[in-house]
Amino acid sequence: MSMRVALACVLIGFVVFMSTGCQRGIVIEEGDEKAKGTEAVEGKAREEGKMADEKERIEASLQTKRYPGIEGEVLESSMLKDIHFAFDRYDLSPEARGALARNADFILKFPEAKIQIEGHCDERGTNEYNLALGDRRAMSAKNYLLSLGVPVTRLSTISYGEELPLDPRHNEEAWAKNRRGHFVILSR
Amino acid sequence: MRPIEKALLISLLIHLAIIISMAVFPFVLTKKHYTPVYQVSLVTQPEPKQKETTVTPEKKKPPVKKATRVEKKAAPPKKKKTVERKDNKEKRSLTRVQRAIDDIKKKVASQQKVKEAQVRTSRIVEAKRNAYFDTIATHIQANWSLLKNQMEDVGILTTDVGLQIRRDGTITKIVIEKPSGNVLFDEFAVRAVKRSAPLPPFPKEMKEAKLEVTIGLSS
Amino acid sequence: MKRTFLAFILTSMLLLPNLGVARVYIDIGSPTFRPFPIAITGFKDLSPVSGDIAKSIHAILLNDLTISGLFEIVEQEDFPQWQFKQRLSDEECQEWLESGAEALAWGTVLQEGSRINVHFWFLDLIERNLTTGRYSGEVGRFREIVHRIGNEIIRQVTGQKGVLDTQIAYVSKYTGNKEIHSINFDGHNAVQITSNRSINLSPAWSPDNRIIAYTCFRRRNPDLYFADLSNKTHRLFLGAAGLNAAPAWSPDSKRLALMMRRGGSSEIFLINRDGSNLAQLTHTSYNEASPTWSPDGRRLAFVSDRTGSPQIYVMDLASKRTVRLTYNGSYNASPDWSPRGDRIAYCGRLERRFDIFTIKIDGSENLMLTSEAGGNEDPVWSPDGRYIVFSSTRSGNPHLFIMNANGTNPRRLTRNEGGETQPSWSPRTDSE
Repeated sequence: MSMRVALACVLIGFVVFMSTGCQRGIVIEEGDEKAKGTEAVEGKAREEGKMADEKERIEASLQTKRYPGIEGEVLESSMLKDIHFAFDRYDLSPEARGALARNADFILKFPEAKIQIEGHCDERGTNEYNLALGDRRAMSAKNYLLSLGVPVTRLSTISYGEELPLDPRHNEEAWAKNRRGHFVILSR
Repeated sequence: MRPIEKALLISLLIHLAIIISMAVFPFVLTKKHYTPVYQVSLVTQPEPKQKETTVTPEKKKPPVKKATRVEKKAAPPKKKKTVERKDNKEKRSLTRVQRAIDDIKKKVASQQKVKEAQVRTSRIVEAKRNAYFDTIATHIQANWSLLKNQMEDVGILTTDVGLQIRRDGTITKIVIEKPSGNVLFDEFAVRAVKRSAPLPPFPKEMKEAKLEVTIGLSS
Repeated sequence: MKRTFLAFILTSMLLLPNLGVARVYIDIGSPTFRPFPIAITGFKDLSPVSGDIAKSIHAILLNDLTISGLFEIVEQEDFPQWQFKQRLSDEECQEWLESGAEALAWGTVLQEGSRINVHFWFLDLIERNLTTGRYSGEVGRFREIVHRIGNEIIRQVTGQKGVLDTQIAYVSKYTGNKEIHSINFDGHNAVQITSNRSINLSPAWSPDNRIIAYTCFRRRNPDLYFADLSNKTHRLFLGAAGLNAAPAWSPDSKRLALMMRRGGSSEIFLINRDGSNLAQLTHTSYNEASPTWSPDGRRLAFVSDRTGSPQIYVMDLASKRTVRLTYNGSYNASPDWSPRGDRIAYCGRLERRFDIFTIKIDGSENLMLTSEAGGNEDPVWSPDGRYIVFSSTRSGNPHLFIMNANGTNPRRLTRNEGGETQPSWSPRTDSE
């Protein structure tokens, strides 16, 4: 008998506990506006706190970069990842799309930044045709970012062809690294 | 017009007709193609034209007949003596006939020898001339070259170069008779001929003062 | 009447000796191909102050005639006694012919202060033609004078002037970054043309010899610049966002063809030399690149990947009709139209390596000119169509080589650290 009572008490207590929680929520909904305002402010503060953290992280990831012989300075971010392409191709692989989605996220969280997408090629093929190929790679990336909601005014593209390899060696490993789309921040 | 003038005119007209027909019908203008010795065998030679006179047996008959007629006239006067004289005369006329026949045979034989000698010499001259043409061909072939790294793509061309060769082998009067259409090719064709000078002198069997030759140089 | 008759008969009788005379015709075929044997007998120094200039001129002319690929130099040991004079007797000519030479070249040089006067003679021993010429100029440019003498000798022998005095512009990484340089046909007189420390590509030498156009990245965009050869200044010519690359001058130097980005892909455009009248020529969604003009200015050849991989196409500028030219292999690019108009040189990839090819305009006679290990790209014809310069990695880094248009005798032209690529040949500088 006492077991049953004890169980009943626990159950009731549980329900009360739960309902008070709900009641609190309900209490707010049902019109304690003051309380609501407080909650909203708290929520926003939490959001802002999150964003401040994000901004901090973004800032921390930035590094200025000068390209020898090219005017101006740009910023690079470790959070903006390179995407890679197959030999002689400019279409996007699933991995590339994934990386672009994360890059899009970054770009949207950094509204002041103007992003330039660089298209690069490996050293095989003629310099002139590789300028065109690099251009297509940059355009592929840009179009995908646009489809993810990035405003067009924030993006520009450039092709460097085979002129700025990441890895100067002459083997498959180096070539795979060099066939890339790279992201820089022009200004903010 | 007097008859003599008329005759002259007709004769001139006939001569003119012959000359014009010779000009119009080119079978007289033989462009005898010569191909050098390494393409043609030396053995075959053009058949020399032989004007042989065959001595027929019928010509021998008349002198024999004459002898018998002479015999018959001498028969009637003295029978014994005449028979002996007849025999002697017969013998003498027989030997005369024999000698006549021998003489004719000798003449014919010597005539034939002369003609055979002529044929032999004309064959030798022909052989020597052909050999000389071979020499010309060999010399010019050895000097026939085009400019490397410049003329490999000229295509199929031929330049006809006419020249005159004197007895001593010197080459004169070099003329482009038919150009190939490529000026540089023509220049190199003429060069090949000039480089071949002087050619060897004519063999003594060739009697011409000079030879007129056309060389066709092809790529 | 009688007189005309007589005259007619007399003239027809004159024909008689020619009629009936059999003229022998001899066929000679199968010529050998050999270089022209020439002896350079000497250059005499007439200068008041003796120096090495006569020897230098002799050496430069010797080298010029050798690298032209047309001559065999008859050497010193074979020489009969040489005396400077203007007339040779028949016996002397014969002596020289026996030594193996078919022509002689000699000259005098007189240096006075900063000026130099060179007098040369060229004697064809077979034709007995004597050619002579006189050149004068600044001492510092005496090499150019010798090149002109060599060009004239080449014209005497072939009917067409040589290109010994022409230059080749190219991209070099010698300074650590890609700059535009130029060098003479004989490998001397290298000059640096750009020095902006950026990335410089695709030099294009204008046929009127005034401008080298090139692409430079210094504004963070591939822009088209002009280098003015007379005053050594540089200016931005075209800087549209995207591509302003692969410039190609029309034969009359009035227009350029180039590649620009339009509608998401690279297309071929035309523009006037003064920057006006930009016109789009190709309208595909595919990549077009590397235009080259026909010598009559009526057609363009260019690269397009409209069938999936880069191939070479020819477009008639009036009708815009475009025809595919190359079908062999999966990557054919870098076309250059021969100044003779009949062939296009290009590089094509068979298996893994690029080689230089030439093909007739109608698509026939595709000839492979290189077969070395290493990659061979960027072929460009000389202004006389005799030679092709190209970039090859056969000795490691890419370097420029010059070969005869039939692929024979490749000769290395450049050899610096960093490598050389993308050549462009200057026009001839001495008039015909």
